[in-house]
Amino acid sequence: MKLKPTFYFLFMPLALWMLVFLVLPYGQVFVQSFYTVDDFGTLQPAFSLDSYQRFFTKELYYKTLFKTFGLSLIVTAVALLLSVPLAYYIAFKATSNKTLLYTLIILPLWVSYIVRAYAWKTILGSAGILNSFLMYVGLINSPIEVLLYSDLSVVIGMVHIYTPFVLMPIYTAFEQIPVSLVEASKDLGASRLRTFLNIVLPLSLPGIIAGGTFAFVLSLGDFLAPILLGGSNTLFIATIFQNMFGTSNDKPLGSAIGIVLLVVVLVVLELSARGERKYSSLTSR
Amino acid sequence: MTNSIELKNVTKFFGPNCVIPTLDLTIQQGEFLTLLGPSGCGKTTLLRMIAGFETPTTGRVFLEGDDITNLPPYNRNVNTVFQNYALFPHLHVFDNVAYGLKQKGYTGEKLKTAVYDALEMVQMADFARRKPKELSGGQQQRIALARAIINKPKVLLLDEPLAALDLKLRKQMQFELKQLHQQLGITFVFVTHDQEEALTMSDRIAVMNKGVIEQLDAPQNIYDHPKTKFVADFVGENNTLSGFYDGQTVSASGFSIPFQGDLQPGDVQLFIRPEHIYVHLKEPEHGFAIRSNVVGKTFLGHLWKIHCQTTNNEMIDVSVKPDQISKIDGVSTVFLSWESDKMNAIAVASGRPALTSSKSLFWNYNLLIMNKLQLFY
Repeated sequence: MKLKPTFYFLFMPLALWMLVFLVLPYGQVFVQSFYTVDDFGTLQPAFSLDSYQRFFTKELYYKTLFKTFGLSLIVTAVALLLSVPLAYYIAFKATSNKTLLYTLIILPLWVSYIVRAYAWKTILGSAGILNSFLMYVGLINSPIEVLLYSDLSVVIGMVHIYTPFVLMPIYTAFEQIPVSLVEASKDLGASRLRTFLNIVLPLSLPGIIAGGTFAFVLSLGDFLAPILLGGSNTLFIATIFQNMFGTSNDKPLGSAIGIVLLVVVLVVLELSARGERKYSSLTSR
Repeated sequence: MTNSIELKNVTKFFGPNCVIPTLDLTIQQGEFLTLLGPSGCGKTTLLRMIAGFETPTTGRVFLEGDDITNLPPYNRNVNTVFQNYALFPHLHVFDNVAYGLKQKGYTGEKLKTAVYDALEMVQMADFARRKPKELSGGQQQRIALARAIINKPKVLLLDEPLAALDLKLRKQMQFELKQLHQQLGITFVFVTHDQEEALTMSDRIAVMNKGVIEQLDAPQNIYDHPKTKFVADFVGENNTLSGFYDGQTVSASGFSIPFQGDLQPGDVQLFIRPEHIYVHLKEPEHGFAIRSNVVGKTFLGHLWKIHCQTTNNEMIDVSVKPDQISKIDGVSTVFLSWESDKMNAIAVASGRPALTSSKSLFWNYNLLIMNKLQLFY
C-alpha cells in the first residue's frame, strides 16, 4: 500500500512522541538492567544478569513485589466493591440527577493527584480531622497512629484515587445493557438479585474487567501514594525502584525492577484483554 | 366466562404528563385481545402495567380476581414477548428458553424435556445450541415466544412482536400465533399499531387514542360500525362527509337518504368506505347519486382507487376493480351512490368538546395532586 505524504506529515508528531518518550526510555532501562556498577556507583556497560539475580534472590525485593501485588489486589477489590453498586445505581436507578452524580464521581479527577493525597494526610494524620473528631466525641483518648503512614493509609488513598477509573468502564457497561433484558429476566420470574447475577453481571463483565485492570495496574506502579501516605514505614515496589535511581544509586537493579514490573503489567493486560473478548457478548459477533 | 385481566379505574401519569386518564378494561379468559392504536396512545403502557413494569398512578389491576397492582413482575403469572425479543445475548437458545423454569428450580431431565417441548412448539428444536445473534429475526421471534410460553402463564402479553419482520414472514407468524393461541388456550393480549394485523388475529380489539379506549368490539364490528370518528379514520379507509340527521333521514349536499341508527338528531359526520361505493356513468333513475368530478386515480395492484371531488368540494375515494377501470377512462363526471346500511353516521359533538375538556382538566388536576401526594407516602 502506497501511503500519501499527508499520512507521514500527520503521523510524524505522534511517532516522534512515542520514540522520545516511550521507545528510547524503555530501551535505555532495558539495556541498563544488564549493566553493572562499580564501587563508586558508576555505570559499567556489560551484559550481566546480576541485577535480575539479586532481585529474585534477595527477600526484601521479591517479597516487596508480592506485597505490592497483594495490596494492589486489595485496592482493586475494594474499588470494585464500591464501584459496582454505585455504577448500578447511577445507570439504572438514578433518573433526573444521573448527570450530576456521574459528574461528582469524575470531579476528583480534575484535582491534582498530589492535592488529593495531601488531603488524606490532613484527614488521617495524628492531629488530623478524623483523630481530632474521634477524640472530641470521646471515643479514643490518644490519636490512632496507624491511620497515617501505614499500608492502610496507602490503600485508602489509592482506592479513593482510582475508584473513578474503575467506575467509568463499569458504568458504561451497565449503560449498554438494554433495559428490556432486565425486564425480560424479571418477567420470567427472576428476582432483582438473580437478575443482577444472571444477566447484568455477565453482560457487564468486560467493563468490570477493564475497571479492575485500571485499578490494579495503576496501583501496582504507583509511588506517590506510598511516599506521601506510607512514609518511611511502608515499602512498595515503586518506592524501591525510585530509591535505586536516587539514594542507592543502583541503576541496573532499578532498571531490572522496572522491567520485571513491565512484564507483570503486560501479562495482566493481556489476560484482561482476553477476558474482555471472551465475555463481550453484547458488542462482538 | 371468567375474567382473566381486569383493569379498574386505572390512570397513569409520567411526572405531570397524563398517559392514561381513566380506563376500565375487562379481558376474558382465553381470548385474543388486541390493543390497537397509533404510537403514543398508551397501549404499551397499558401492557406494561399488566406485566408489572409500570404501576398505575391510581386504580387496580386484577389477574383472575386477585389484585396484582403492586406485585413485581417476577411474582406475576404472566409473561411477555418483547418488541425487540430481548433474548439474553450471552446465553444459548436452550438456556434462554430454560431461564423461566430454572428460576422455579427445574433441573436435569425435567428441565430438558420442558425446554425441548417448548422449542418443538415453535419448530426450533434444532437450534438449541445456537446463540441468539446466530439466528434470523424470525427465528429469534420464535425463541422469544418459546421462552415466554414455557412458564405456562395465565396471560401472554405480546408487545408489537411482529413489527420488525418483513411482510411475508409477518403473515406467517400471524397465522402461527393464532394457532398457538388455540393450542394453548390461554389469554393473549397483543399490542400493535397495524390495523390489518389487529383485524386478522383478534377475538376483540380495543382501539386506543390518547390513553382512552375509543371502542372495544369484535373486529367485524370495529370495521363495519365504528363508534367514533377516530376509529372510523384509524381502522381501514373511510370517506368523511358532513351532513345533518333529522331523526329519519340523513341529508348532505347532493343527497338525502333514510337512515336508522342510534343517533340524536343534529349535525353528523358520515363515513363510507371506498369499497362500498358504486360508480355510475349516468345519473341513475332511482335513488340518490352524488355528481362528482374524477380528479385522479391510483393503482394498488388488486384494485384501482379513483379520487373524486363533489360539487361541494368534498373528496371521495372509490375502489374499482381493475377489469372495470377501462370504463372510466376519459370520463370526467361520475355519479356515486351507496346503500344506506353501509354508511355510518356519528354525531358531531357541537359545543360539547369544551365541556368535556374542562371536566377532564379538572379531573387531571385532581389526579395530579393525588399523584404528587403518593410521592410522600
